[in-house]
Amino acid sequence: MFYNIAINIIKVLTIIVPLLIAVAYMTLAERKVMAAMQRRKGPNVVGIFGLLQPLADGLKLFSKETILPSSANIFIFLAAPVLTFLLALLAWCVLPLDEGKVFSDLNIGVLYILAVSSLGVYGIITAGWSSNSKYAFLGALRSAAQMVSYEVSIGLILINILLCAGTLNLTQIVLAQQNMWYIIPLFPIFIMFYISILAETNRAPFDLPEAEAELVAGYNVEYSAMGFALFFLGEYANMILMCSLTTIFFFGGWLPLVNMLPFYWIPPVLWFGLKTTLLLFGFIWVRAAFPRYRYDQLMRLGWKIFLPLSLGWVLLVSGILFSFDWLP
Amino acid sequence: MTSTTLFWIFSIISLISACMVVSLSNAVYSVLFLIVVFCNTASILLLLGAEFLSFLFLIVYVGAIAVLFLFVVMMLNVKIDGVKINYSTIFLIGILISLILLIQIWTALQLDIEAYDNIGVPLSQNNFPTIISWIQENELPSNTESIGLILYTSYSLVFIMCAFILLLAMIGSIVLTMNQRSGVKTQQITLQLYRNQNKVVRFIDLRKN
Repeated sequence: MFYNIAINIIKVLTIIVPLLIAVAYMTLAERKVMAAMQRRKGPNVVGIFGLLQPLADGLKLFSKETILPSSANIFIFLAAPVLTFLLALLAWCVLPLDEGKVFSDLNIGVLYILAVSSLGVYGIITAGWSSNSKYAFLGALRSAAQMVSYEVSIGLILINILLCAGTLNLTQIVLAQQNMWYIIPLFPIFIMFYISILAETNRAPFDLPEAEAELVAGYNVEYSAMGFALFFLGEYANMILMCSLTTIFFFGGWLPLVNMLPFYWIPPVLWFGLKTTLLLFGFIWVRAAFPRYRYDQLMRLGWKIFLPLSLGWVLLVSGILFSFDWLP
Repeated sequence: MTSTTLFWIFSIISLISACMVVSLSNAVYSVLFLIVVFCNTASILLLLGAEFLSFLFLIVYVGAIAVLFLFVVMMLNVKIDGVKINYSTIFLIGILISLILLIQIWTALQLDIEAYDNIGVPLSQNNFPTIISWIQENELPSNTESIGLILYTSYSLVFIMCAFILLLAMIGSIVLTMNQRSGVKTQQITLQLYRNQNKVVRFIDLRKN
C-alpha cells in the first residue's frame, strides 16, 4: 500500500520536475530566440549565456511580497492561480513520451485532455472576476471567449485524427502512424491545429487577453509574486503540452523520422523532445514575426473560417475513409 | 470498498454544493458551486464505469455551458440583497417539483436497468462488479464503441431529432440577435482586405489648401 503510494509519488515527480525545468528554460529560449531575431543579445549576464537567468527570475518572484487587493474576493483570488497550475499539470498524466512511458494509459486519453483543457478556462475567468478590476475582468472575458471558441475547432480537428487512428488512446494513435505520420495526408489540418493551439494558449498573434496597449496585462494584472508565477508556469506548461499533443497527433510521437539505422539509434524519448522543441520554436518565431490580431478578426477566424473548414474536413476524411474502406 | 467510499464522498459533496447553489445570494458563487456539482456527478459516472459519458459531461456541461452561465452572471452584476422572498410558497412548489422529478427518475430506473446491461456498461446487481471475468471483459465492446453502436443504429432517428431540435434553438437565437437596424457601422472585412497602398496613400499639396 505505502510502497504503491511512494512509487506513484515518484512517478508524478519524474513528470512534474522535468516539466518545470522545461518551462524555466522555455522562457530563456524565448528571450534568447526573440533577441536573436531582433538583433539583440538577450539575457547574458547571469551564468554562462544567461543560463541561470530563469533561476534568478524564479527567486525574484518567490521573494516578492504577495499583494492582496483590498476589494478582491480573497478566497477565489487565491484559488484561481492554483487551479490554473493544477490543471496545466493534470493533463500531463496521459501523455506518452515513449511506448509505455506514461503515467496512466487511459483508453479515452483524448477526451481526458479535452476535458482538462476546457476546465482551464475557469482559472482565468475566476482570476479576472475576483480581482475586481476592470482591466483584469476584460482580459478574463476576452481570454475565456477565445479559449471556448477555439476549443470547438480543436475538437473537430481531433475527430479527423480519431477517424484515421480508430482509437482514443494516445499511445495507439502514435502506433497507428508507424507507416506514415499524419502530417503528410492531413497537412492542412495540421496548419489549422497549429493556429488553433496558438489561440488556445493565448499566444501571439492571438495574445489579446494581455494586449499591453489596451489592457496592461489582462487577467493577471492584480497578481504579484507567486500568484503571477503560478499563472506563468501554467501558461507555459500548457504551451508545451499543446506542442507535445501536436507531436503525438501529427508527427508520430516518439517514432523516428525513417525506420532506418542511423535514425533508429537515437532513443525515442529524444525524438519526442526534438519534435516538440521544433514546434515550440515555431511558437516563439510566430511571436517575433507577426503583429497582434484585432478581436473581431480573431472571432471571425475562429467561428466563420476554422469551424466550417474543420467540419468540412471531417466530412471529407470520413467520406474518403468510408468509400475506400480504410476505416480501422 | 474504495469505490463505495468514493461514491459516498462524491455524492455528499455534490448534494451539499447543490444545496449551496440554491441557498447562496451571490449568483457567481452559485454558478461555481454548480460546477462543483457537475464535476462530482462526472466522478460518480466514472465510478460506475461510464467513462465516456463522464468525460463528455465534463466537456459539455463544465467546459461549455457553465462557462456561458458564469459569463452571463458576471456581466449582469445582479444584486438582490434588499429583495425579500416569500419562502413558504417557494418551498411548496419546490417540494412538488422535486417529488415529480423523483417519481420520474424512479420509474425511468425501473424500466432501463436491463437495457444498460445490454449496452455493456458494467452494471451488476450491486452496481459495482465484485468479480471481473477478464474473458468477458475483453469481449465486451468498450464504452465509446458501445454507445456508438447503439446510438447510430437503434436510436439513430431519435439522435437526428435531437440534432434538429438543437439546430432549431440555434437558428432561433441567431434570428433574435440579428442586427436588423440600418445605418449601423460594422467592420467590413472584405473592404478592409481590398485596400492597397496605391489607392490609400497619396500626396496632397498643403499650400493650396
